[in-house]
Amino acid sequence: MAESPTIEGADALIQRAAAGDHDAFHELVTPHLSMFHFAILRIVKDPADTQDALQDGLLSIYQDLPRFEGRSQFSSWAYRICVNSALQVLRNRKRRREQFMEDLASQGDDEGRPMDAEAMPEWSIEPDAPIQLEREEIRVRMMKTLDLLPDTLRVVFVLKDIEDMDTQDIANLLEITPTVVRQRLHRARMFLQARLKPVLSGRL
Amino acid sequence: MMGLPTCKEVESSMTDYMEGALPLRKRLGIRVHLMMCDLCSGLYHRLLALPAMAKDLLRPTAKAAPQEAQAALDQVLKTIRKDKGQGC
Repeated sequence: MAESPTIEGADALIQRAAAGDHDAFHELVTPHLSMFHFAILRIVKDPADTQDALQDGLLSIYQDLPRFEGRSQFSSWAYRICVNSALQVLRNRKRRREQFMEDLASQGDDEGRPMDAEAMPEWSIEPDAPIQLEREEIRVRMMKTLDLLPDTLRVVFVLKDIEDMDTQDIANLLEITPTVVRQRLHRARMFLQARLKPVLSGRL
Repeated sequence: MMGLPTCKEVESSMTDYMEGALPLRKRLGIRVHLMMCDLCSGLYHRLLALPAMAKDLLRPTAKAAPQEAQAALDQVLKTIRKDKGQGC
């Protein structure tokens, strides 16, 4: 298993990688590769898009490395770049979807994904559904429920409640206000808790 | 419960409350309401449990990067080497 380099070691690696040393770049990013990959996957959901976004992110990290000032940890800085790549995938997807909807509009078809959590169909769970589901079942249920959220809400939930990012950092990253971050987070949490109520109640 | 927030107000302010984004007076009102209302208290505890459950279930357990992530890095290194080769 790869270990994170020491602070001195990391600084030297960063300098060498920024100067164009490929081996140093490989050594620098490898310990964080798993974190970058799964952060992107949780945002974009699709494995092929994840790989593309990860490539873009890694390339940006390499290109921006000479401008890295060391004011934050390398992993946090690079992580944000990867999250940005994931967000770019969502923006591209949204553009494609809008184009698709425009094309469909003339035919009066509307099967696009609803953007409001309130407008989404209820995912029915019997109130007295068995609480003791197997861990894997619960994980799959959680992932499916998370996938029902619109991108705008899912991204905030993932960054805040799974990745533990600071509200202000999320606001900066998404170019929205902290108030909007909290509003989206609230809608995401309410949506999820309503649909995962039996599971969550079993954990209390 | 004169002066205390209603269940609807508590529900809509729950995330702000958990984030510490409410003024003291509102925060205290919600805290007292939660002590008196089982429904809102249940919701509060489910919302508290949600992030922990999401982390527990959805964060990767393996430290090693999956093969596709390694492949992405290899591809990037290949691109960089190619670009550098062309630049020389």
